Amino acid sequence: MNRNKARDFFSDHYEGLLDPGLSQAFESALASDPDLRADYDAFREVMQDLEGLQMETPETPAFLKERILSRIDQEAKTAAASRGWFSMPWARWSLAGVAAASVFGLLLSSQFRDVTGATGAGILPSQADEMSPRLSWRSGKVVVNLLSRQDLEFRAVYSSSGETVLTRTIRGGVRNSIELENDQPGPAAVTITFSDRFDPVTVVLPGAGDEAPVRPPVGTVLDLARALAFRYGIPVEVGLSNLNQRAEWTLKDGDALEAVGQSLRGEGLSLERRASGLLFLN
Amino acid sequence: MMKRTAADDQVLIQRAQAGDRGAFDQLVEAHIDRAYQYAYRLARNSDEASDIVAEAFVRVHSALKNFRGQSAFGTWLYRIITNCALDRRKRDKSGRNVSIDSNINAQGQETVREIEDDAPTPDVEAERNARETAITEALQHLPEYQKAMLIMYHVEALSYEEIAEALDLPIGTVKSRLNRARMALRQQLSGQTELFQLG
Repeated sequence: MNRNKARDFFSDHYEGLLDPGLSQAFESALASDPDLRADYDAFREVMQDLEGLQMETPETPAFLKERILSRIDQEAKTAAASRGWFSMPWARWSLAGVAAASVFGLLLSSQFRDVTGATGAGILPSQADEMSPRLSWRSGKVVVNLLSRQDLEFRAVYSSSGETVLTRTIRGGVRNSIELENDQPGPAAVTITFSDRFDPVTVVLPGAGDEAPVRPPVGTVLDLARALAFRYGIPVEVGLSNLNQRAEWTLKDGDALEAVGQSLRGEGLSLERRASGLLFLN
Repeated sequence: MMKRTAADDQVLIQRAQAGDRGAFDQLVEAHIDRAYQYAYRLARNSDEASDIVAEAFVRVHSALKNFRGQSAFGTWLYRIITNCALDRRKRDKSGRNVSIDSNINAQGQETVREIEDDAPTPDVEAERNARETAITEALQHLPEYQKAMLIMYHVEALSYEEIAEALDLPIGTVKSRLNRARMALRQQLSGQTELFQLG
């Protein structure tokens, strides 16, 4: 186990959540690396301080409940005033824009669904909750759904090179659906950022052809995600921040996903198929 | 927000969804203290915490009809408060620092803005207090999401499962991000060698 890998296990080891095999490997790494040992000791101290942390318990201001309830009354009145217009189904669904682009083989289209419920003079900020980006897999496309309270820039870059693939301005206060489709022959790894408003998302889209990615069963987790996307024809969302983390894997034709997930556990990785249709590698 | 049972909340939620405003008021009453404490711990400022909580309950009221109870109401409220705090931080970054009205009282006279004294007390617990103060200070320098996760887990005592529900993330992701947040906190504290003696 190398130093970076061991650091990923600091919390699990401290909390006794590592299985015996990994725990033994972790402790061997500590024993053979004095810097890692010092790092872990410092981490333990911080954890102990966090456990004893008693942040102050402030008293709720007496006016707060009244303020909340009067704001709700006010918002309800405004909503009632605009209900006439928004009761018309065609008005609730405002298709503000549909766009399609082909850049470096990655296709994108976007739709915006207006959910603000505000119109006319005295526009209120959206009352809708913010929704962090959620990915789903539909008809050969990865769909990114999100709702931001403010405008932001949707930027997709190739994960390996950092080269920008495309950018879009995402409107605040409306539900956005952005579709990504990879028409290259092999899998494409893309990292999407959202103006620092939400955490970046890395996803590997299967290719339109049969160009296989890296063949040797060793490489980075991004290579692994490419191999998985190619093998199963399903996009893989990568939940690890270090995309260069090393991993070893074997994917045989007959391997069910469960078996692959089982084998990856030895690498400290988890693989799950989500209801959204994507694989999630973490 | 976690002390009440889900059944207590469910009854109020169903009544509120049916348009019973009194039931919604009871929900606010039941959760306002924990909501305020969490918001205060994120914002470290009473005015900001009040704004965050007020905005959060307005959003709750607006979205309540769509709440299906997949997670506990309290967990859902944590998510909304976290989002409100993130929104506010974004707005602050884009310009606002202190309202120009904040130094003017109801009579229009200038007042001295009270600054909280959070210096460590000079007693036998001074070192422990200093360490706590340093951690609290270091937390404020972390990215908002990391700070929220650390406060949820270590101060609000939410489980990994509850945080996963609140932030709509898989448990594995919560664990790995919490690990990164703790590492980031350790990094923040690395300058405090007298208190923490980091390697």
